[in-house]
Amino acid sequence: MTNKKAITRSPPRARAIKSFLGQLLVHNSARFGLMALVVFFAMAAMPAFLVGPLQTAINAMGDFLAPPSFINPLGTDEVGRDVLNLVVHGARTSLIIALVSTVISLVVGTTVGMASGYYGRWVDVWLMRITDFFFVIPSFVLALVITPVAVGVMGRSGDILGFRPSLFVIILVIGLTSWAFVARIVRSQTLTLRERQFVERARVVGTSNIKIMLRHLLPNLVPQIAANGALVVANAIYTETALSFLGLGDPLQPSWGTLLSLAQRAGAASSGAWWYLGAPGLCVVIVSLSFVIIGNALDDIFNPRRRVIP
Amino acid sequence: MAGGSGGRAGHHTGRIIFRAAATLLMVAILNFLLFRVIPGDPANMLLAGARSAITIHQIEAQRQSWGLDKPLIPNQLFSYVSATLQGDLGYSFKFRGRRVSDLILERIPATLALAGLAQLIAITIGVTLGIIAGWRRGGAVDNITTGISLALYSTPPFWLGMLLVVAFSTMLGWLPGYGAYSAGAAHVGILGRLSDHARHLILPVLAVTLGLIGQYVVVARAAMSDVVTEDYIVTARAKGLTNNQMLMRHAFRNAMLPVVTLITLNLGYVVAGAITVESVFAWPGIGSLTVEALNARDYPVLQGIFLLLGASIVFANLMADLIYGVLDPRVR
Amino acid sequence: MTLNASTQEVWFRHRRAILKAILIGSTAPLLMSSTALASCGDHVAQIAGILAPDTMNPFATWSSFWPTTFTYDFLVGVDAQRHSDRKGFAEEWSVAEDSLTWTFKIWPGMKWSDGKPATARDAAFTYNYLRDSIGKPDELNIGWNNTGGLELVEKIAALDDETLQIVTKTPTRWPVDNTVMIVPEHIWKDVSYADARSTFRNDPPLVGTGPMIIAEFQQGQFARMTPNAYFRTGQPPIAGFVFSFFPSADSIAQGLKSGDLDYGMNLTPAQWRDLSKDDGIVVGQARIEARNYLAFNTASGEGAGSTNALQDQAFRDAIGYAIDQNLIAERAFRGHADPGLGLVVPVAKDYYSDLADIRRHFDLEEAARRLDAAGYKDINGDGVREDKEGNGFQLELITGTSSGTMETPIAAVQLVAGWLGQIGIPIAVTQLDSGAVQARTALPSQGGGKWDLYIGGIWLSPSAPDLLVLGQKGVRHNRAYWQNAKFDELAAEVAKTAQLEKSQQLVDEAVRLIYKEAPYIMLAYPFMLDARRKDCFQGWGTEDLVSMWSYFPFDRMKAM
Repeated sequence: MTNKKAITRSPPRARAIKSFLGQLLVHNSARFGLMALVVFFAMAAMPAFLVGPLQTAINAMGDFLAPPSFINPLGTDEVGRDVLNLVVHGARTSLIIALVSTVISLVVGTTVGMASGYYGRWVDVWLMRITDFFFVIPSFVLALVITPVAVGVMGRSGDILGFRPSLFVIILVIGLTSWAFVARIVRSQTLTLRERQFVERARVVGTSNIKIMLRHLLPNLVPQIAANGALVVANAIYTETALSFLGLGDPLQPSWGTLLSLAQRAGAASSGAWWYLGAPGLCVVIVSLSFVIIGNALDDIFNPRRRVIP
Repeated sequence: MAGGSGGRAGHHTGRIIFRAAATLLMVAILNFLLFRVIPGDPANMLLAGARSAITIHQIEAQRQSWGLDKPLIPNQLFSYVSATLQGDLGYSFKFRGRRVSDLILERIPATLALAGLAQLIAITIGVTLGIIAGWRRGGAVDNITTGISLALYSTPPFWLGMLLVVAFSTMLGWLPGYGAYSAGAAHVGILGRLSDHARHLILPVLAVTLGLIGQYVVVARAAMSDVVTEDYIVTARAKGLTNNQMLMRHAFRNAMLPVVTLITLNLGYVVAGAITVESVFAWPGIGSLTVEALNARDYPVLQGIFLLLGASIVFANLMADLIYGVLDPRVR
Repeated sequence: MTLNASTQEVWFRHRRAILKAILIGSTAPLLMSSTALASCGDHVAQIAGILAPDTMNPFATWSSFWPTTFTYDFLVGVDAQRHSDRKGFAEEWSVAEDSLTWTFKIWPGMKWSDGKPATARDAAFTYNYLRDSIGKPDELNIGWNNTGGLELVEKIAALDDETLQIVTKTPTRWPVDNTVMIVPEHIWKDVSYADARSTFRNDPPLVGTGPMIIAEFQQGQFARMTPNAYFRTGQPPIAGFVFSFFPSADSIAQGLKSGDLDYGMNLTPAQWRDLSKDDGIVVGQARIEARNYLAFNTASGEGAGSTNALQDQAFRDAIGYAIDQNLIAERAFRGHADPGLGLVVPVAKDYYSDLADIRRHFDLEEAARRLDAAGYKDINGDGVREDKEGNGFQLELITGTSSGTMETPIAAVQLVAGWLGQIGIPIAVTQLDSGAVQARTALPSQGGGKWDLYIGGIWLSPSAPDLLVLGQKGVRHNRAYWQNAKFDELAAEVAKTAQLEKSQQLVDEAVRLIYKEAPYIMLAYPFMLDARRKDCFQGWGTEDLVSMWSYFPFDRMKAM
């Protein structure tokens, strides 16, 4: 019995995925976005393979603030480090922060949204009030203010779950301040889905609420979550870049935002070192844009008429 | 019947206002908790940096007015809320005992000038472009506009600012890249001062505006194209019945609802959004005050700013809700 | 009807373009005329530096040296001893045979900037004001004008309007070396010590005897100075100057290039190099008395760091081998610094020695060996050494630039963190701003401490006592909280010694002692990088464009 289920289940799913990818790739822009993301994820996955180990002040080779040349395709910084090297290694930090904090946002937002939409009544009222509150408070300023406090509390030492404390705090802070958007959308979707027949049937049969939510509702929410998840990632990248630019990042493991901050402090803007400023920023723009485009494309696929744009 | 519907509308408005007030209170409470649930002695945290900056008497006065010796809830909370309502936001460490409320009031005009002007320009240009693009969906104009707008939307405004500085200030030398006025401004006449101020406004405003234009174009276009694909518009167009222009105006009016909502919401983020740009251009507004206070761990100032921003966003949301209620009859 | 409709259509369709055209058109004339500000016409010089003075009260803070040094005179000070044309409050000075009685001749007929006579009584008042606060709870020991050195003074008296006499208990150079700013008695006599320490803001316009009086002070922005009509060598020829405070050198470099600024200091090497290519700009670099160092938190008990290893001389000495000062000077400062060595800065030629016999050299393996020998091995093989209590090292390094000191480039911090990481001591870096760093590195009794390493700077006069102040117990500048009885003894002796040879011996002994104990590792002695424009003003200095210790050249600068 289970065997048959396994056999009959995969082809439709595989077909669905294939058709979905086909739909996605029809969008020209989505193709560009995906390609860009593949490149950047490759950079994040194996930076040392592509450009060698992270150049630090100690093993910097180049001339100071040299413009792009054959040896240094993106020029050098004020200590002689190769900017290309810094940017590629920065990809890992920036992308990890963005993705992990997005996961946190999605998990929290989905949980709150689903619970709110499914249970209704006072659970809905109170959860929505909290959500509205998080929607209202200036999340960037909140992140700005919490980070040094949190870092002070956690101490600067050691690694937490493999992340340096400052990175960990930024991840947590971004994750916990951007879930409201997801929660609202999940809630409205849940409200719609809740009335569907398959949910009724499951309830009649006696399935527990949790099981209904996880087995029946969640899979149907995935498209919506994915479409908006892309936008959440774009927002997370922006927030992390901004926070790091203001000095909350870790200069020993620079993300793109931290590189921009270092460039600013070294006087790159006033000495015309456009390569030092341009490269990390351009990466942020491309990655962010790619996620937005993909998010829009996904949204187009799942909601042909209505588009949710922040 | 008229009285009945009026009563419903009034009830609705009352509910919105009540909710806004409740949210504002919650913002204040969060603000309160944020700086006090720090392990160790919160009084120390809040006043430690002050020891060299303000007198013992001021520290004591602050301790009294915030009730730092008493239990957290309800005494300290009550003291904090009542002090805040009276306008006492504490004293800054970095600025040697100056009142936080004074500092904030001093810096607001510069931020309003920057962000306000940027929003104005962005709304004008962005909404117009978005409407045109949304009306003529799928054309080359639409694609290019949308493409550029999405790119601008994804660009960090402070990075844009730094590039503008490199281009227009360092390389071309046309415009100043820092501050709100040149060092010698105090000595020149009013016209010179105004034009100096204007020159200093250009690059920062440009940096903020470009990103905002991206936002407005995207939203206006989406709203417009949503309306344009509604059946009655499509039918009318197909039948060639009504004049293009009248139709566009009609669609425009309906599409304005989400746009107006966005504008009102954005106004609440006016200050928060300018933080990084002000930092790049050393613009003497609330944004750079936030960064300075952050670097100095000047908690009273940070607390005051957070409250200000929270309040402005709550207010903007309230306005948006009220406007929405007026414009969209379905809500009533 | 059709005409109306078409104009309406035109407007509607081209609304955006029309609006833009109007906007641009109306602002164009304004923009064209605004270069007027950069002109030399008003004879007001524009100066800038990376500073953050928070008050004009020299008793309350160290950070207001600039700009108060243009308004207040020292009695003698550093510049007056180096240059005969840069005298301070005193026109002449001499010391009697017994080396204890100093006599100062004040400029005859000198007036304060408000017209009242400036006499020896004001100088006596200033010193006595400080001296009388010694031992009180509100002792004036936290600002530029402080009680340091006054414990050696027996008596300060104004014999008449033009003669000041200082009698010391032992021979000392303090009466000429001290950098106390002379303030007017009629302003300050009613200010209580508590107020002088903190809240008395000394609001502009100040009253001083210097050539340029602070007329306006906007914290975080600028201080505006006007010429002192009563200045002793005549009112300065220029109409004043504006000293702008910037948080970074970017704005300073831009201002110099665009002509908005006439002079800027604290430039980064990158900007300095860029400006040196500009035909309209003269760049300068000067050796100054600044020292940038790495300090260990050697306190035990209150305010101590995260590990007892910091209190162990062997640990600190070993780390000294992991720091390459030559590379720091070359890479981080791009050659615009002398490599760090001992307490004595190269500019203090009388006292400088290269410590050839005891100096450490850069050798990571040697550092590792010494750490092993001192008992800090990596027992569990995770790449991180453990201290004697068995805890893995994780040190917090704080850094920041106090106003009035030279910035340590972040690259130097990265180098240090990198080297220490390579020998198994991981570092986490926290960057703080001027005020926050002062608070955290304050004495433990004042709420400071609980950090491990600190990279910062100090910039005092080249006198022997100032050279040694880093190691003296309980002194604010002693950020390492280091205490050594022998060193304190030597420093006390030095303060009492006026004779150069003896002073040199004592200083040498003290410097060697502290070098071996290594509570500080000197990183570099940075140069001051500054630049000025060639147009508008003449009379800038040749060796130093603008003096780092006095009002020069603003008393004599002229417009072109």
